[in-house]
Amino acid sequence: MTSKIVADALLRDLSFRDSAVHRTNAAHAFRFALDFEPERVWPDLAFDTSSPLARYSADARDEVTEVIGAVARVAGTGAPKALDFINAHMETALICRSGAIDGASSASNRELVGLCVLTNMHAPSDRVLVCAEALLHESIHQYLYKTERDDGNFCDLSEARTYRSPWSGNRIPLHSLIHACFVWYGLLSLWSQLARSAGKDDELSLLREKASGVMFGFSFVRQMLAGPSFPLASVQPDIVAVIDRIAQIAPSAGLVDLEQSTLRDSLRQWESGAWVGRLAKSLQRIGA
Amino acid sequence: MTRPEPPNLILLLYTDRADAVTSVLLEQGQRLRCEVLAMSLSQLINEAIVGRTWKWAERTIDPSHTAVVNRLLSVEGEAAPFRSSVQRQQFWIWLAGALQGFAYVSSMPSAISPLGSFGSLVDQWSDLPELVSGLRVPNHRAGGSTAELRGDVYVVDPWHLYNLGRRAAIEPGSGEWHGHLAYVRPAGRLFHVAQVGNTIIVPNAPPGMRQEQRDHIVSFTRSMSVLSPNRILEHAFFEGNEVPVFYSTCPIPVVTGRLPGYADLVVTGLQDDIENCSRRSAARS
Repeated sequence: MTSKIVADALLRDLSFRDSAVHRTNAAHAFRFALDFEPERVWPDLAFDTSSPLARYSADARDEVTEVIGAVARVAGTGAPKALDFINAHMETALICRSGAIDGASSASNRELVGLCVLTNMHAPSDRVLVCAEALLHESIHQYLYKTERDDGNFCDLSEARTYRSPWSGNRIPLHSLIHACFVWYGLLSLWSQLARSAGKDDELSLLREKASGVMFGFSFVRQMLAGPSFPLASVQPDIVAVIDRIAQIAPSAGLVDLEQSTLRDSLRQWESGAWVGRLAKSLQRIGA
Repeated sequence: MTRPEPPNLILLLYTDRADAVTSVLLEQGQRLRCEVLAMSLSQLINEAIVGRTWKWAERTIDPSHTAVVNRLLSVEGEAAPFRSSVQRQQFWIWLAGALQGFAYVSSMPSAISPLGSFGSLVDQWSDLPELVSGLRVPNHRAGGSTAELRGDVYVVDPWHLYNLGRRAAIEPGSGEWHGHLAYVRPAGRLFHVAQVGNTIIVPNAPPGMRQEQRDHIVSFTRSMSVLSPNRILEHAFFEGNEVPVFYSTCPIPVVTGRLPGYADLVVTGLQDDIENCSRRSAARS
């Protein structure tokens, strides 16, 4: 059974807020291995990861390696705790390309702790942020798998019904939905931390969009937990309590004071993106 | 113990005057026992001050004594006053939080719709039979696969709640049906049930509808009244061989809203539902 201590530790470990931002030229790098020629057939994917057709050419490998290197530099300077977290939990990333998947994608599996698949990371125009999201996303899954292995599952893994994720819009199993709550919390923490040191407007704009999307999903989590079809009894109570705390605070963390202004004025402030930098401090209340 | 007073104001939030519920409240709102104040999405965004109490048109609106009829059908498209997806998302987040402070809300926004909903046909056919005892839904397969389905097989986009799709005329496995839902069309004609709270009408009921079939509909709507955060719904059923077979439920009365009796349903059903909600709140406090 997951204890309150374990549940609270999730919030602490998935907070990437760092009061000091390290804009240095120090070399930042990931320690996990890149496997461009995987022999492993990954379960539950739309393509065969071991197929030669799923491999990048030598030139293209350099391009993907450079993207991953850029992620390490961005994380190392703007969110060093996230860099450390990924290095602590990711061992090997299988790097693949496939026409069977639309755009960039990533995957983890409970039976393959420490490993993930990154697919088509060359594709997006904002590939560094997309790859950063994928790497932290999958590293959080590794961390959660290990926590469950050591301290007990967060929910009943045999629960067969699926539920619609308020983030992806896909119907996913209960255990994936519970993981998603922590994954998106960690990503919100990352975006808000990176926003504190974002230099260019377009960089801040991308972070604002990503943070807003995460907050949007969290604003419907409490409704989902309270809904008649949600199997609340199948989830550990302390995990429910922690998710409820995140969902209570995260959606309103960026809101401006509406006592004196119209929504039109508030929407302009939201559009500016200045609130994303303040978000990191607001999120601290969740773990307090 | 003091008994909470029922709401003394109905605040209609709307985007489309042609929506049947909006139309009834705009034109016949005086039939309700308390005042109806109508506020368009544009007025909500550009004119109202929406803090702990709302201020608009020289009025102060106390959410704790106000019932909201949420008819914000959509916040997408050119008519919506949002410059970006971030503005739309932040408004939607705000709306979901703000409506929780009202004494009564006809429908809470969901992640799928600002009007709330039970999702696609896939969601409805998966979730509702778990919640409503005895509810029958069409035999179906996700992904548009017609394999293992026998009978009058149709393929439909599961997000098109008002479309029965078309008869499957191609071999299973064709990419044409990616993202679609294949189902066996139940027997009999389609009919609709309009529901506001506990009150229902079945304006296009099949002529030969048996008492057993009527009882099934009443039982379903009672269950929905207990479990649904959406108080205003329109359900579609196939007549079926024994009991009606559920097809979909939607918070917009596309069919019944045009039929006789709908205005009376909205007035009576809404009045009762607001008062019942107030009584339930009193019992809890």
